[in-house]
Amino acid sequence: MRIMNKKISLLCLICFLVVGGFSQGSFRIKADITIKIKNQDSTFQYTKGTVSYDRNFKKVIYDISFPQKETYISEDTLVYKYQNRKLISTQGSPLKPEFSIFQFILNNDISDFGLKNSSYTATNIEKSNDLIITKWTAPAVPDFPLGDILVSSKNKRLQSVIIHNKKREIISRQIFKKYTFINGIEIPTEILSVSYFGGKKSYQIIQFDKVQINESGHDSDYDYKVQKIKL
Amino acid sequence: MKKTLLKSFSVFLAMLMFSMQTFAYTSKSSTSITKDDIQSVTQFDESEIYAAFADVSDLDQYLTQNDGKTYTDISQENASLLSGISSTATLPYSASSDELVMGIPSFLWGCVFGWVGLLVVYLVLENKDQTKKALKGCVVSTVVGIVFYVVVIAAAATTTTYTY
Repeated sequence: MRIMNKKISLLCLICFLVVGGFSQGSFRIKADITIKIKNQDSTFQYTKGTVSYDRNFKKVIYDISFPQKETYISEDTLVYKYQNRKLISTQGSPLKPEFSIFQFILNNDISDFGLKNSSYTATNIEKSNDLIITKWTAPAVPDFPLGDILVSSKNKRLQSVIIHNKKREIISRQIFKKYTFINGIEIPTEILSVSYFGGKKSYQIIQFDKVQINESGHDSDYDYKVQKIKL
Repeated sequence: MKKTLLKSFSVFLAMLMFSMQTFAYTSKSSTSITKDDIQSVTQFDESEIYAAFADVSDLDQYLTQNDGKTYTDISQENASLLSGISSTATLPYSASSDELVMGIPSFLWGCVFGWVGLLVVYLVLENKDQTKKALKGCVVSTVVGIVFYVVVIAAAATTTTYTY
């Protein structure tokens, strides 16, 4: 009986290591990317290219083909813009690559939208058909301007995130769709979002195609080495 | 006897702090998921988002069939496809025209990402008011963290059994 238990434990351990090992071993991602934005004034921004990220190099590299051929490197808190490998400009970056969706994807850790490690608290969970809806409540601090965040998931896949203000009005909605399962990790290949400001809306669609995980070789695609000072 | 009384009093204070926080918290916000919440999640018609981009579907198709074409190329070949479309690229998570990074209020940046969020708002928006909001978020997050630690440490210290 004891030997049987040991065998079962060993089997469970092996299963755990195999499943965990898949996602732990994912270190780089590359995909075609299309970003469409409709601004509040009804103008559009359309960007198409390839995005590469390697967790070891900590650089998100956007090799853009439209509207112009140019390369953007997001490294630390800066974004460098290059044309023909020549630095054109440098500007502040909203997110360090380690906090980007690409890092979350490689960690197989986007199911809670990163709220687990924030000052928000998961205060309720409801099931509605096959959706699991979690309410994340803002910290109980006077004058905290934001309200609850609702995160819904289906089969452990993040489906949508709704951010409220303090008046319980929705200020941002994001929908994660068209998942693909590669190398043991779930990857949403389409992210839709709407932002609401003063009765107006702006829309965004991000699409990924030809997703590759752990591409071998091509290190230079993930570690773009060029000058960081304008010459 | 004195030691036991002190320990009991400390545990009582820790419990009181916990319950006061819980009371303040539950009295200010509803933690339940309402019907409206469920409806807002389940009944959103995402076709609204796709419909917003109907005007760029022709460009979408053109670029799929003509990979590598730039704005300049298309402006010479079929300029009507570029109506209302900016000639500059945008990256995911770039600042919006409404002085919000990713459409998320600066306070949340500071609150969730701490000093990194603060730096993000400062660098991206270069707006003093928004940076102050991010700073407030950062401070609030730190204060909440410290209070939490103090309570946890107090509770842990009072429940530790010493042997001499």
